[in-house]
Amino acid sequence: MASKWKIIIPVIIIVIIIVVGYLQFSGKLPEVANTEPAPTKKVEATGNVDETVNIFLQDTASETTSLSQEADGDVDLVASDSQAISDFGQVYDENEF
Amino acid sequence: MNSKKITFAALAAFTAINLVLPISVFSQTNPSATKGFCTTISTISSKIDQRIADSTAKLETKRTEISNNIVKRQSEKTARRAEKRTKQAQSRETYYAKLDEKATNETQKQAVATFKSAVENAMNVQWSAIDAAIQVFDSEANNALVQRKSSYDAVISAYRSSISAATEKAESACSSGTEQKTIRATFQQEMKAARDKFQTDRQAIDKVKGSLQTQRATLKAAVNKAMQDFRAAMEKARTELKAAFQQQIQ
Repeated sequence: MASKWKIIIPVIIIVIIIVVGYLQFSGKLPEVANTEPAPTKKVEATGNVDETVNIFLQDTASETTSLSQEADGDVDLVASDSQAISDFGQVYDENEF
Repeated sequence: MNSKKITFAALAAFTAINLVLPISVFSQTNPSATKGFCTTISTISSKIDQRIADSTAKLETKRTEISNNIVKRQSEKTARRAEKRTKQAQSRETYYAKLDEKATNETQKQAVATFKSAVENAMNVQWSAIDAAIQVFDSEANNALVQRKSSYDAVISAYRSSISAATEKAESACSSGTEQKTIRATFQQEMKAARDKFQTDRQAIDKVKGSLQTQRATLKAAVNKAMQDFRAAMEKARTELKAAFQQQIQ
């Protein structure tokens, strides 16, 4: 009886690994949540001066944040050929001569 | 019992193969040590030339990809900003209309019109300042890309020349009958010196990224200044409109 379990348990583990692997690659498992912040909820217009001004200020502040992130992305993109350049350092191998 | 012995033996053999196999597969015998350096120099040279050609092709592909991405990103950013601003402008009309509803006399209606005009003017001034700063940054990003390419091309070219010179020198020494051990040692030294110089020159060029980061800081400062000016204009508009609405309550 015990020897049966020695076979059954590894088989179960293998089946689980295959099923999880299949679900992972077929995209049926839930993906990592989108980290992009949700858009600011619009406050309904009430005719209140303070609320109105604050909404307008919020709208422009969000643009500033986007610009900063975009600029960071551009800086990284310009320098993203680093690995291809590093590869030139590997064009010879001392062990070959 | 026998099956246990067989299993154990199989496991032991498997473990032993795994221990020995990587060593035998990956530790290639130094060809020049067995054949003599001068008989292998042309093969070494061909291999290096091939790797340089491969690396050059890979770098060119990457550069094209980066350049296309930069253009695409700049165009997408402009479109995204325009779309966002149009939506915000439409949204503001709803707020202006509501303020207009609250205005109970001609003076207040005029105050709302003045407020709207002040807000739209402040928005336009802010956007103009931001757009100008973005244009400068985008232009600098394009310049940085061109400058980086030019600088790296020079460094790679010098590196290739040093490698060629070392190889030709070794081949020439082989032809003239110099001792192979000496040729090999000199070749190794010169190749190492070429690589070391390449790495040092690289580090200097990486400062280009630093200069673009300075431009990024300039962009951020310009955007912050535009925001401050906008806030000041908005506070003024707020105070004036509130005063106009306050008059009616009094």
